[in-house]
Amino acid sequence: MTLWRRLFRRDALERDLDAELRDHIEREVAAGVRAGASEADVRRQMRLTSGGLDQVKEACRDVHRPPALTDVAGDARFAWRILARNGWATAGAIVTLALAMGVANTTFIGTYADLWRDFPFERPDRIAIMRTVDARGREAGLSFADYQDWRRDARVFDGPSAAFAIGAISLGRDGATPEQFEGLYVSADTFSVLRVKPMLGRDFSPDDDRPGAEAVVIISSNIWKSRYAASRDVLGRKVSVNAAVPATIIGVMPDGIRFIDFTDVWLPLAQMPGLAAQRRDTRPLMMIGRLTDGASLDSVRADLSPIAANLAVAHPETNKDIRPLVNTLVEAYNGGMTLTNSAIFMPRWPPRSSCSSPPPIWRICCWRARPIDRARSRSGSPSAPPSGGSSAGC
Amino acid sequence: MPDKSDLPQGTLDLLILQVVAAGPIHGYAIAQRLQLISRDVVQVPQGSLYPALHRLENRGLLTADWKTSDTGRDSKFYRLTRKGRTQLKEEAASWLRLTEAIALILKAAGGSL
Repeated sequence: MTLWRRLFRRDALERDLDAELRDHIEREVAAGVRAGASEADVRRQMRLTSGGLDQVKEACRDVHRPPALTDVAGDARFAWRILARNGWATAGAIVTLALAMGVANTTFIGTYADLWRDFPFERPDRIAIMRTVDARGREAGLSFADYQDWRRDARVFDGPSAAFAIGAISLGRDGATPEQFEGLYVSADTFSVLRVKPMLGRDFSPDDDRPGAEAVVIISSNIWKSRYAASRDVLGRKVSVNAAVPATIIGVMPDGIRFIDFTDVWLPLAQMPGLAAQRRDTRPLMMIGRLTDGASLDSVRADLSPIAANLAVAHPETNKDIRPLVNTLVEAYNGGMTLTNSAIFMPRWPPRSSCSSPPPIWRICCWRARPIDRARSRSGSPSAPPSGGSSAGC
Repeated sequence: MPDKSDLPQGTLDLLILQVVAAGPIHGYAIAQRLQLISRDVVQVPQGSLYPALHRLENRGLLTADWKTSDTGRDSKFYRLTRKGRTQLKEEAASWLRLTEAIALILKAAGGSL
């Protein structure tokens, strides 16, 4: 009798048991009557010896009762025997389970990073991120020259504004294997805007971010642990950046700070190759600034729009119809959702993005598209929006 | 009628397997056969017989089918499985060895019985 039948076909089991015992009783009564006894006497005798139908049934049910759940070792042995007997089915089940777990895991990691994990900064919803959009609605970053003008003339921010650009950065000649990391060229005030400080060493200073300054590097705690074995001597260590520029490690960021995306290495913006010669229509930068109390994104737009209009007049060949595109960091990277309001799933919709599926799919679709965005951004194409979404995490 | 005798622990299963080994048989007939062969010494009540049959079925030593019997009613007929046959051989051999050994000891004890 299969375990399946014992566990899930109890009704059928009960019917069979009843029929079997009644068959026995009828046979015994018939035999007794044939031998000359009365039917009542035979039945009474049977009750005396066996204790009645219900008692016999109960004794049989005990046999069919599945083993107690506490008998884990017995269950495991039983399971193993069943599995071992059906090799191919077992292999199929294991492969299916493994794939299902892998898919579930990947989905969770993706959605967690994209949708739920909060930015590890103070009030990320008060950090504005600024890019540009042209007359045809194409989104892009901004050029270094535009950034300098915007930064100089903007009045709306609490403290200085900053800018950054994504780039792959390799580290080598420091005793460890040369490795390529996700990197970010950041202006000196970037971490002040985010309000994060290195846990070891120091932040970039304005002097670090001048043309011709000696190159310095801040690394994530990730590679501090994996590449430098969490050694405190890492500060002052000389490395070669992109196999060309000698640089000094000056700081290590705290755990979880990987602004932006999965960055492991930060260099001053001045170290970005070709920055000085960059044309106004090469737009790899994104600008960030912290909103003053009471200021809204509309205040930022109102502040930046005249600056952009002036630039359009001054540089019509590159800046005609280029307008500021302003979001909060949370909007740009997280569909507008923060942990504080994520109990209600309300990403901003429609997103300022070319994807046209429902919100969660939008996130995933943009997430998948990220490497393409990144590649466009690296190649200096004017259409390199960050809205493509990278993960919420930094 | 001779006195009924309590079966030593575990021997009912062996006796059932032995009786079923002769061919498909229902519970009532098993009890009758045991009583007949043992000359009324072994009388198995329902409350012992059916739990034992179901236990042997669960262990895969017996299998059962419902068939229409001589009475016109459906009866549950038990058969020995291959595993049951192996088990019967082993247990019967072991039981015979043990009873012979016990007999030897009883005889060697000096005939004080």
